[in-house]
Amino acid sequence: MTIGLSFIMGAVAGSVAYFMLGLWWPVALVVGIVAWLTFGLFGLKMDSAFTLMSGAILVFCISLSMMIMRSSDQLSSLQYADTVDEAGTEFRYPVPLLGEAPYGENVYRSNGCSACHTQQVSHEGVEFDIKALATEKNHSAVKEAVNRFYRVTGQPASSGVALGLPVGEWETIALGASVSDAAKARSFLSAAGASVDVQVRFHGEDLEKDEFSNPRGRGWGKRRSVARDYLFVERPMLGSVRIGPDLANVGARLSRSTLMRILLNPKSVRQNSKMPQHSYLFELVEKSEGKGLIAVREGEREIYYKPTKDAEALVDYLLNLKSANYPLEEAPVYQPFTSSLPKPATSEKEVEKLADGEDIDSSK
Amino acid sequence: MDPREVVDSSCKGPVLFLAFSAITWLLVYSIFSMLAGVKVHASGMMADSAWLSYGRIQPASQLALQFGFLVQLGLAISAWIFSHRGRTVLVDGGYLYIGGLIWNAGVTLGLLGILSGGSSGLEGLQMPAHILPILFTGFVLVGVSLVQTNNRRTDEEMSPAQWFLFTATLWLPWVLGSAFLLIYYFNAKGVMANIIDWWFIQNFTKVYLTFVALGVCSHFFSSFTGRGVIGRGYSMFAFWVLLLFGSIGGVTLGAPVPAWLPALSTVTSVFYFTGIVAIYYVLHHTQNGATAVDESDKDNLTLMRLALIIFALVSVLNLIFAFPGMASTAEFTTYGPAIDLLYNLGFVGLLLIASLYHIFPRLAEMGLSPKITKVQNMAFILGFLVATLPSALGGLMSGDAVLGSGFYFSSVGDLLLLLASLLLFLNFLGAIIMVIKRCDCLSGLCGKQQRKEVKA
Amino acid sequence: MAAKKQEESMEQTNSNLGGPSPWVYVLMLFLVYWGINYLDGHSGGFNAKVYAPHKNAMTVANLKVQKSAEDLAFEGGARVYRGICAACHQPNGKGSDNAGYPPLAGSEWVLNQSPDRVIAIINNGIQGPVEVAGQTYGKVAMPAQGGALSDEDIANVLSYIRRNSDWGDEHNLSVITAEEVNQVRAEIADRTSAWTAEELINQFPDSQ
Repeated sequence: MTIGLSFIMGAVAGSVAYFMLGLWWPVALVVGIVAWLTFGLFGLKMDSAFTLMSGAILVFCISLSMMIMRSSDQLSSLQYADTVDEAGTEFRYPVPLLGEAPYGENVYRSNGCSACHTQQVSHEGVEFDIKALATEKNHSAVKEAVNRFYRVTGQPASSGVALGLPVGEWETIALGASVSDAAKARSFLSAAGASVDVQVRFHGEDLEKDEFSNPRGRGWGKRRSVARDYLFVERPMLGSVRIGPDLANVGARLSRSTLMRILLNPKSVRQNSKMPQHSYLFELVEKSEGKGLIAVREGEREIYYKPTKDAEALVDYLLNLKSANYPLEEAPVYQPFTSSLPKPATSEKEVEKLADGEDIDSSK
Repeated sequence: MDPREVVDSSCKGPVLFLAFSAITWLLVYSIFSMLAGVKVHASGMMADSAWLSYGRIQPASQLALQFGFLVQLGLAISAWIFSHRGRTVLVDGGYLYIGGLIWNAGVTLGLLGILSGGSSGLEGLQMPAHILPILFTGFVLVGVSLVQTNNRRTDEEMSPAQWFLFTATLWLPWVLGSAFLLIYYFNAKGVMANIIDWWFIQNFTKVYLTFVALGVCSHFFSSFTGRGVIGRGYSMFAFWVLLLFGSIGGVTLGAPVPAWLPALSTVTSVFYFTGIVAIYYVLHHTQNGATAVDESDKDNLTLMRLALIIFALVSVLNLIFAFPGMASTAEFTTYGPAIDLLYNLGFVGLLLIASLYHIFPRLAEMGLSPKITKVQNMAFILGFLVATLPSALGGLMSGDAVLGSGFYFSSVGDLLLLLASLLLFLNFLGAIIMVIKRCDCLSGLCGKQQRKEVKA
Repeated sequence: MAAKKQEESMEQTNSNLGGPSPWVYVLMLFLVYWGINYLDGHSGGFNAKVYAPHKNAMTVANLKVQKSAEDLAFEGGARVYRGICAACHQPNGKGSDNAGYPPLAGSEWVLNQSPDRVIAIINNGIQGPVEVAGQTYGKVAMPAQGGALSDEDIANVLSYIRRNSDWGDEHNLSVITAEEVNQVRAEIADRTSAWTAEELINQFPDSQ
């Protein structure tokens, strides 16, 4: 090999050693130089099968260590996390499948549902809305910080602030700010002593639709899927093509009867569905007794289908799929403002709710 | 006797066996692919059978295509190229029979396993877990013969074709075996199984199949045109770059894995492309402006040139769509599978079939019917173009109307492919039957004593 | 280009293992530089917790809502209240006249500047007649809750009932800290039975 090409090999070996294998930089440098010299000076000829094989082994090891070993190190220490559900109750996430759902997972796997459906939600970007609250003591400092924020980031001043930052009331400082702007706002305002509240909005076609920040959202999840979601799944059926919708969060979207109908005859639920019928998962029954039957109207008559054990288990499994629903440290969910200080006058609806004794969450 | 004929006669049985099995699997693939396409249009058809549900037929067809057709035909052509380039007889050809039988058994069992509901859920490794050791064994046995043949070459020097094919022969067992061990034996947890699966797919397509195709292409371009391979230095550069950067990556942008994996995939795709440019440069200049030395190879050379163009097209597309901006439009649409299919059939498949057309008359000492060959080629090319390009385009534009029509196109393409593979199958079947009748191959296998008696 | 010239010279000696033109190496080095920059920007620092499209762990950390200590206390208190107190005193804090549970919303006991009496009530319970917001309660005694609640829990739930604006505008008192609760509990550590209203007033007279 020429000196030039062997230099490339040396550079590659050194970079791999440093960045991927995480060796101490002098060691990586030595590795690089040794590789350069070996390939260059000893003139390893391409004509020897032994050379090819040893080079191939080296590349194979690099590939394994870079991609597989490193990710395995990172992901093997993943554990469940504590999060909150919609009602605010804390629970351990992810929840392992119980009951018939593991069998349903096998039904999903063996029928190759992942040929058309994915189970991974992705998102494209993040935006922030910032609100600040100034008390009488720090009012002028906070006002100065706000003005500084507008100057530095070039954000247009929010109308409320233009009139003068009110005391003791939450005021919107920025809408739709980028990550760096939000970080600046937070640091300026906290340094001035104000209370800061942040609303996180995600945009991405997979996520919940939001008129303001995510108009094209398809509502397939509240946040992107992360590795922790699949902690207890043996071989996650992530899928790679979306001929049908994503199913990562389908348990939060669809009900049992809708799912059964979709399996039986997808076109009856969605007219332009491309999903083939899965009528082998159902049995035709004569009478309408028994629970959980699916009734299909054909002309004048009603035909009754009884889901087989496979269908029940599959729907059970699908209803348990709520993996893009709950916030995690690495993938927070859209959070509304959660300030607990006095709010403006409650609306009539809330007054009614108070009278009925319902609990109102302080967030809206 | 012409030394070439000696080499050919040593190759005849084993190579034709593997090649014919591969063609049979191509037919199986096209039947399944047709069935799968039909299920998308007429959702009520055959809805009562679990075995024929789309989710089972589709992975089964992929298995038949990749493992049944491409790998086996690649092995057959590699065996022939090793012995011809090395100017040696095929060593231990019997291993090709045994290995081929085991491989075919593995693919058949895998197919039945998937259809009966045993698929693993991982793309690219859909076959049930116990099939992988069978495939591994079959391939290794064939590989033993290939490696030995290469080692017995008369010239010390190896041409780029031999580099590529030799490394490919080593690579697949390593990657397949590692994937099997990591996923099933060491129980990769959660998304790790998917990462290993993507790693396997990347290595299978971008390293193994590419290397087989490039080796075949390089050999036949130089032998058809009578030139040597132009630019060995570039070939060597391309070889190492393609190997190093092709073996890392393959993680899609939106995957539920830490951000560095997709980012790494993008970077390695860019480097991989430089290797592609280098090898394309070499191959292009090897055959540029030359006509085939042998009249009968003219069509084959044209086919191979077309395959090279498709290779360039798909490589450029892969580079463009490696970046997040573009990838997010194509992600999870039918673009991905369509381009993969275009690569598998349009580049690797077309190349291997064209080389089979060249090899077959020399091995069987009789030609294939030229008319059927012409029709089959047209149907095949038209088939894969129609089956993939509209789907790819539809995937990029993704809207229901477009997506729906993309499926119709792909079914038309599937029909053409079915026709093509049927013709190919029949063509070869007819020829092989005549070959078996003409020569005493079968009797030679099981009746050595008879022959001795005749001689005496 | 230089590459083309190189190629022509290579055509003469096919088996010469000449390397590719030097420009290729320049290109590769440039690509290495690009690659490192790209990884810098998109790989999230190879951190396991950073997922695309975030750039690094800092941006992910920035997504967390920074709650002030008061907010955290309030929310913690809301959880305790929902879990333990709301069963009798109702989620809306109005209690139930029929059952004999006094309201907390608008209650002068709750709205007292000093939280000491309420801490004692939570700790040991209260029995006997007690006047709340103009009405007398006492049909049912309140059992002691102190055994199950830590100082922090009691402080949080106090912060909650003192500051829950849904219960009225007067509920705008100060947050209570765990240390204050600890002090009061230490004072009354000997007490084992439930308080009566008079005992509470004697123990914690109106001094502020």
